[in-house]
Amino acid sequence: MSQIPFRHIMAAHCESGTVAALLNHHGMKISEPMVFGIASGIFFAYLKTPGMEFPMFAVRSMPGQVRTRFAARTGVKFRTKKYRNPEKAEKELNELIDKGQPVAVQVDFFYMNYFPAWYRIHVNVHFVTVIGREGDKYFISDSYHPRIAEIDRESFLKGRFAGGSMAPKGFMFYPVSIPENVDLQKAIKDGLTGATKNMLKIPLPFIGIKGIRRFADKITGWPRYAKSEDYLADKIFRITIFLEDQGTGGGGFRFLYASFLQEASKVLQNPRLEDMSREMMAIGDGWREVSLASAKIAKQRDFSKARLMEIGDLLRVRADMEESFFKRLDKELSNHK
Amino acid sequence: MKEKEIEVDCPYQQVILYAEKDDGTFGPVQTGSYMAGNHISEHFRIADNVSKDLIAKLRKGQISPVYFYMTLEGLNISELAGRTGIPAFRVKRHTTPAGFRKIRISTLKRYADVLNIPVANMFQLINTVEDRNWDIGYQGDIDSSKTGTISQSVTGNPLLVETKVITNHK
Repeated sequence: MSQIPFRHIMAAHCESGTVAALLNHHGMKISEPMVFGIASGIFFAYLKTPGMEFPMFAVRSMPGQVRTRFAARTGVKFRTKKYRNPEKAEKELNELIDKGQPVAVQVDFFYMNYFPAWYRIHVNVHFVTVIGREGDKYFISDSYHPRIAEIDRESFLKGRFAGGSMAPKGFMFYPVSIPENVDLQKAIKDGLTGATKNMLKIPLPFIGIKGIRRFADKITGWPRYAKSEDYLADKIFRITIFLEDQGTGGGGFRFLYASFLQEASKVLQNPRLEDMSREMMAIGDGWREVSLASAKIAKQRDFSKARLMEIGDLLRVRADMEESFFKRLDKELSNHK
Repeated sequence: MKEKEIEVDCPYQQVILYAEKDDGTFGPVQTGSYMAGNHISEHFRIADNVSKDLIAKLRKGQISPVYFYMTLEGLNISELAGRTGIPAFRVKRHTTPAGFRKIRISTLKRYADVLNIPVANMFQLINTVEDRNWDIGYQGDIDSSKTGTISQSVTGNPLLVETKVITNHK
């Protein structure tokens, strides 16, 4: 048996939680909100392409970017590797664990069978930390699980080598170098600048604030993509799940981001960021209103244009508030370069 | 959001949310999942309705078993194509009853592996008594049942599954 002593803590989001836990294991004291904020994790996108059966939206940056951007802005170096051959991937992972190195891996969430079956869906971008193995089972620190979990080798391997979009391909990472003196102030400023870019400056009509407004405009058209009333109810419930339950920390990552801003105000000794963190918390409360309204409509099965417009109107208010917020944040950053 | 306002009583599905604590600082709070705590019965009702509708269509030969299991697993044609390595236009064909009849066994095995079922289940529906106490478990997954399980285990033959009825007297 080999289980590495590892402080397991639950986190709001699998990627920022995994990165924070690994760095803390290696002696770098950093919180999950700080990892998320430095990496400019806050985002919005509304997507519907001809090949998609149903529209979707995202409230965070692309999977993998939390780690890459955090590394680029702090100087932390991660060793990363993808594999074609599952046997080689398994062998190298086992060797690392046996040497005492906890390793983060990308998996299809569906195969993480320590969660109840009804909760598991196919998502290829879940991150967990492997902290030990014994016989045919692995010990897993999963940010969404209250305790260290166990998984059988076969399910774990299936999860690491599930195909499809964003296939994990056995991807793994772990930190190999952490600078002694990280310039946290610069990293935070870069993170804030990246966030204003995400939300205001990407010239595509479905990204950032423009994406929230597009979502608001398009939601009344959702019934035409639905195969049945149950299907539509499920999709509208998913608004609530994506904003509250699916690893966001609540309010579509806005509560997590508010936490980052509060920490950032102390590091940068900028009291205006403390005020803005409270404002972001209020914005998160607004996203929670969107969640609650969506759950109510889905439960009542009233998909009339008027009811869906209620969600659209709430989204427009969020767009206005976030536009004002990120413009002021942008100005604040320009004043303190 | 204040810490007290965010709490949901749902011990079987815990999440971390960030909230304002009594001292004015923001930080993580472990609580129950909002969806699981408030709407889980609705979730099961939707899943039940979808499943019953698909079974009815499967019985009438209106959909193919590939379409049936693909939908139950929450996959679509392009995702199933990516996971099986079978071109999307072929997967689309195989999701129709006519296309299904022409599938080779080796192709069917690829679908079965991705859809987490034995090949045999492409040709049969296994029913249990409808009291929710019986589960169908593939590869020995029988722990959650109260009364019993129809257990399906892999054998040395990749196309053969061993199906057992196990009564649980716990």
